[in-house]
Amino acid sequence: MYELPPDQLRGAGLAGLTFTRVRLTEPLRPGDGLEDLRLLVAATSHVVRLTWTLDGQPDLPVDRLCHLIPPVSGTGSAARAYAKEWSSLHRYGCFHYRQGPGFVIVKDLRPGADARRMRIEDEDASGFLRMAVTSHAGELDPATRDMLADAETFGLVLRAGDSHLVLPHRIRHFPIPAWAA
Amino acid sequence: MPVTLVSMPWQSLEGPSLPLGILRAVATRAGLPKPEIYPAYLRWAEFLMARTGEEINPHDYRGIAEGGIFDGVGDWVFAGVLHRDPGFGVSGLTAHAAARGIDVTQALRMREHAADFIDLAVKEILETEPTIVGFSTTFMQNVPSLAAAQRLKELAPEVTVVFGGGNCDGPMGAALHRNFRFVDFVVSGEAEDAFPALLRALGGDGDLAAVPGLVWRDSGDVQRRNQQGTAISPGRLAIPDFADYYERLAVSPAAAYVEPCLFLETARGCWWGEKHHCTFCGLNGTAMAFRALPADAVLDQVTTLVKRHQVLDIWMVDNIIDNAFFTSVLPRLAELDWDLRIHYEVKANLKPADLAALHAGHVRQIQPGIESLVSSVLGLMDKGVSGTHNVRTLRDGEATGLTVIWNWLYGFPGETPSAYEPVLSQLPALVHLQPPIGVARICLERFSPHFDNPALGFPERHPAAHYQYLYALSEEELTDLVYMFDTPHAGLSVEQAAPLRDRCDSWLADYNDSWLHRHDDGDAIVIEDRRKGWPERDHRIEGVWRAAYLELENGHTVQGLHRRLAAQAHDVAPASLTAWVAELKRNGLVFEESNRFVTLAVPSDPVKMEKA
Ligand code: SF4
Repeated sequence: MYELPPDQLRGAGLAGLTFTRVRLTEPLRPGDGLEDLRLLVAATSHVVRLTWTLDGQPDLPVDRLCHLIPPVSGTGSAARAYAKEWSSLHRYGCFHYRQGPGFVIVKDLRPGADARRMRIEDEDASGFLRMAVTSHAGELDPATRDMLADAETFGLVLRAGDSHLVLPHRIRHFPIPAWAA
Repeated sequence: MPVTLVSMPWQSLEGPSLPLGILRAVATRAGLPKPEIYPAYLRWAEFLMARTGEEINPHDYRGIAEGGIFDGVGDWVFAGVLHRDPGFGVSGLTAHAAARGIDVTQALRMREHAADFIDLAVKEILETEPTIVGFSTTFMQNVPSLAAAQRLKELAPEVTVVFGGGNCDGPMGAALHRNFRFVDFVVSGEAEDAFPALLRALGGDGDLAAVPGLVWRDSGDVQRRNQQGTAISPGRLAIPDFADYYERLAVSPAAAYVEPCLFLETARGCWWGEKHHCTFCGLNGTAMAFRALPADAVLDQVTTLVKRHQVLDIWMVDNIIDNAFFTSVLPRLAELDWDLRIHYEVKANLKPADLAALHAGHVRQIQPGIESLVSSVLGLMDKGVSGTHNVRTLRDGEATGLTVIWNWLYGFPGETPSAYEPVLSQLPALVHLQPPIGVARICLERFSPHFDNPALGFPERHPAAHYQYLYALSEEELTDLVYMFDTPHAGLSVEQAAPLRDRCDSWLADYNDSWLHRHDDGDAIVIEDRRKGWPERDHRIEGVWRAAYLELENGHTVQGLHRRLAAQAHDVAPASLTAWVAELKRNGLVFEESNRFVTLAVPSDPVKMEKA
């Protein structure tokens, strides 16, 4: 188990920490901007075994975030209640995407939503993947920037100011059993 | 000469029929017209959904397709249609199922719709205006295929009916042809050469007598059986042509229940079975000779079909992976930045580097033919691995994040409860590793050494009991027609097997909540024990014992371990080593079998979860 402040984890390159247990020494505030959520999306994608505490309460209904590694607790009673629900709804891989040649498959089995499997093709797929590896509209070409609004409508992207975040994580590691996700 | 190829239930809904995809490709390669493919199994799932307002849905279909094989439940759903008697086999199989603890409620409900479905399927097949209709039949596709073929011949006697597939291999094909006159031709064995040759011969270009493996009737109505062809060489294996299956699935009401998959074949036969045929295995039929595609062809097949069909799940149907693929195919698959999920069957004696190569090559699920953890029983099977090998594979598979599918088989002639006892008492220590998905008495399968050589312990055999509820045939005919046989029990009795079942049930129940994690910081190994049924505890292993532990990860006898440590200039008295290993075993940190020990802790934390 490593103990790290969030900023150090952000800079650590999460790919090298797959299956590693990490305890964050400071709480995360996924309700403030997108950067803490971005860290959770990346940690979930790389299966970093994160132990973290929730500070504040995100505006989003918890069932939209429950695909991400849940907090173990919260800093106040509202955060604790949110954290508890997040943890109870969490199911690894319940909102993820997979990358193929010229297409992307998004699978959404989060509770409260209609189960869906979406295939994104051609330019839309490359645009989606570009959004997934960037965080600001300025990093996108105009055509991809134009897709942000649609992606947000479909619930694939969150936006705050000129920041964006692709909400499903790329599934790099399948669970055991592999066909459970 | 228009040809329609049909795959009846209970082919997996997740993908197109691989045999039909191959036949379509070889026909085209031979310059013959492209056959139509009629996926009757998908239509059956859709038909049931529509008829019952989805009360019967693809989950129920899957329940029978995956769970009904050993009792012929899927065949039985169509037995009333084949025999033109809605009650055929009903009381018999219902009683058989009750005695075996199998729920056939949904199968019984499906039977009510079987006749109407056969009418619909035959109507739709005839709408393709075929001259020849080919049925591919494997496992439980026999009775539904026969029921459809019979109806087809009633409505269109001029259409030629051909059967092929696993159920037609060896004497089974001739028996099928002999007993069901509406089947004009049967192709026994691999069909890559036979199918185009048959189409040509039926078109007047060639001689039926020259079609490899063909069973036919001559002008005197006498059955003729051509010799089966030799095994198809790897260079002649074709990239399957799945036609428009995935487009069709995408707009099917069944799509909501189905995650599409590609079924591919990269090798045929079994290289292990060529040398040591596992005594219970009949899987390879008459074609044991191992043949694998060249690496370029595997890559071509995977990349072409993934791009064409936009499907990322691949189920390799090979009975065993080619060892050459570890260096030729997997590294090239690893270069693809695609989120593939591949299933492969492998041999159990894989090293961590092999498992890492599989994982890097996007293999996410393996079936390593573990079958037992008792070395003496593995010896009776001629498996060529020991119990500790198998436990090591479970441990390293877990560490790599691979799903490891295995069944625990028992009932081998010569096995004794006393051989099981030392292993059963240690199963609680394995609770953090992947449990068997089932515990089953072996069945006598045609083509297996047990079948071919009665001296191996099964001299008395009869067609498995359920077949009498599927076919109105004599025992003699059934003996030629069927794949599974009943025998007096060998090895463990039902009572003697009960502790094995109970322990495996507990294992399955506790697996998801059990962890035995090891961390090595270079000075010490720390093992965190969070297994159900064990006290929560951390073990610290330092100094020479750390070196000993790392050696023991490979599996050794105490003497072997002593030699390895001595070679590393570690001077440990054998008695101390014996006591240390015994202590590890008391704490459930090693598994011992036939005097060999192997460590159990896993150096990583893969995600475990309940199946959706
Ligand atoms: S059980 Fe597997 S390894 Fe053994 S002969 Fe059959 S296919 Fe080959």
